[in-house]
Amino acid sequence: MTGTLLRFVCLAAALFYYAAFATTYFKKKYAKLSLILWCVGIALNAAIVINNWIVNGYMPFVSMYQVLTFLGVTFALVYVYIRYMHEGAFMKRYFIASQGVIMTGVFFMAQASEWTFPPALQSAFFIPHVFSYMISYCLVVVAAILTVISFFLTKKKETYLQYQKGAYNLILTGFPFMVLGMFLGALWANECWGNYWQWDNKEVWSLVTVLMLSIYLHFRRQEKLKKFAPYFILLAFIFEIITLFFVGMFGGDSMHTYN
Amino acid sequence: MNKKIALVLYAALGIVSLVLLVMTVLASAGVSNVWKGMPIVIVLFVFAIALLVSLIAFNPKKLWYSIGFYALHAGIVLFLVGTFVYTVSGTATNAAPPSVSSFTATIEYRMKQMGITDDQIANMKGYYNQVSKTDENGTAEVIDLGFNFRIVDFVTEYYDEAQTSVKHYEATVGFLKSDGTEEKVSLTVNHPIYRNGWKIYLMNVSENQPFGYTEVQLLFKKDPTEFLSTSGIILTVIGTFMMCFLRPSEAMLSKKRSAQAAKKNGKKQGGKAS
Repeated sequence: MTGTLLRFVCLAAALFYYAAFATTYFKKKYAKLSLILWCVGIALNAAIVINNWIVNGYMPFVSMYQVLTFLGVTFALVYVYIRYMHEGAFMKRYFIASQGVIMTGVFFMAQASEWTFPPALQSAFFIPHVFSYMISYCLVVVAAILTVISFFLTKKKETYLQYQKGAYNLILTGFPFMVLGMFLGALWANECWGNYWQWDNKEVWSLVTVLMLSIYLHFRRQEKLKKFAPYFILLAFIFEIITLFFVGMFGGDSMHTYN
Repeated sequence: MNKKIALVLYAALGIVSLVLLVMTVLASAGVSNVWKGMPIVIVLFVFAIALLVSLIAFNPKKLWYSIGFYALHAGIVLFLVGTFVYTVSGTATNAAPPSVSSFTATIEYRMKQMGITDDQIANMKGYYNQVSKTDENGTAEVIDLGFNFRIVDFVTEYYDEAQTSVKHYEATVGFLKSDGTEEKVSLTVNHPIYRNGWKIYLMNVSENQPFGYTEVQLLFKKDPTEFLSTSGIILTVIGTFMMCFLRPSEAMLSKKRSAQAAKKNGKKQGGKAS
């Protein structure tokens, strides 16, 4: 696909996601329409991922453009798991909205699907490391959305608790993948750079994110501390955004920069 | 677990996280040497102690959850101990031996023109059995590797004809065996080789100035606790998955709390009655 076509497909995917998101607020009889719009959005999003995969000949995880387009599809995969394992049907619209935002971001990026695969990334750790992080990032994003919304629902206790529990279930699912991603990165670094941990900017921001979620999970077990716990999801979300975008964009010294 | 101990441990987790966050912000802002020196050692030490205390104080009842708890917390301690022991007793140093195949007739002629003798060139192309390590004070130490090696060949493959984007680096390392023959082993990025307790990494490649032969940058690392650190990582990951996916449900936890509260009330009332 050419750059212009890719950009068009990307825009179409984002618009379908937003339309699907909007229709989730319609009456129940429009549920099928919402599902169809969402599936079209996913199909368009997946088409870009498949194009990137075919053009490069490897799983498209190297550039930020490739990672974000794949992340869009990952949200859908993660939702299916959450929907059936944690009764997360009410979270669907937030997963869709997140996909829309991501594809909007991708729309404004350079549509460079072709990317070389440098020797340092040619490792068995590469795909599981990035994919684990993608799963956890999706879950933290939606957990943060649920947490923020729950703050406005304190008067409706039942809905408030549903959102809080929803966020908890998402973190319980996402946290192990974040830990897995971090430690796979450490094992990989030991094979590539000769050290588990370089104290690189991206590494330490991701460590801080893990610690925030760890505090959330610990505080949630204590009656006295439980009320403070949700704020740590928000902090984790902020640090996740820094880890994913800002260290890569501005962290000149980072060994994890996307160029 | 005693609630007071739990609060202290959670406070320790919070403080460690806060300190690490501040250090991360400082490092991102360009403050150098944040991660070197005593502060980070103290932070990690406090973290390890808190984990050890939690291992002793916490007694989860549910079997799989309990195994996960011990694996996760003990795993982090093992990892920290492993990396700490490596910092104290391990060795890592860089070396940049030349690739023998890169010595062309033109390069050797240029070297001779600049006063390098045939013997010196032969030595450069020969086997190496020592590396030098320079500490922070600038003191150099010569380390015997316990084996003889040389870089027989080095190949760089590119994606493009203009040779701007590297696809593959590969060094052929020749190890001199006791019978005088040479064992050739391929060394690539991400695939270090083991020899005599050393782990040898291919780090980079450069062109020697002013002669123009290829210098292969290697890292020699001796980590007696690698097994400990790797085991710690594996335990931590397994433990995290077990704890999060086999966690007692919220309903079960609140039932347990209610039972504990009822028991406590019963004791109080019993005490008053007596």
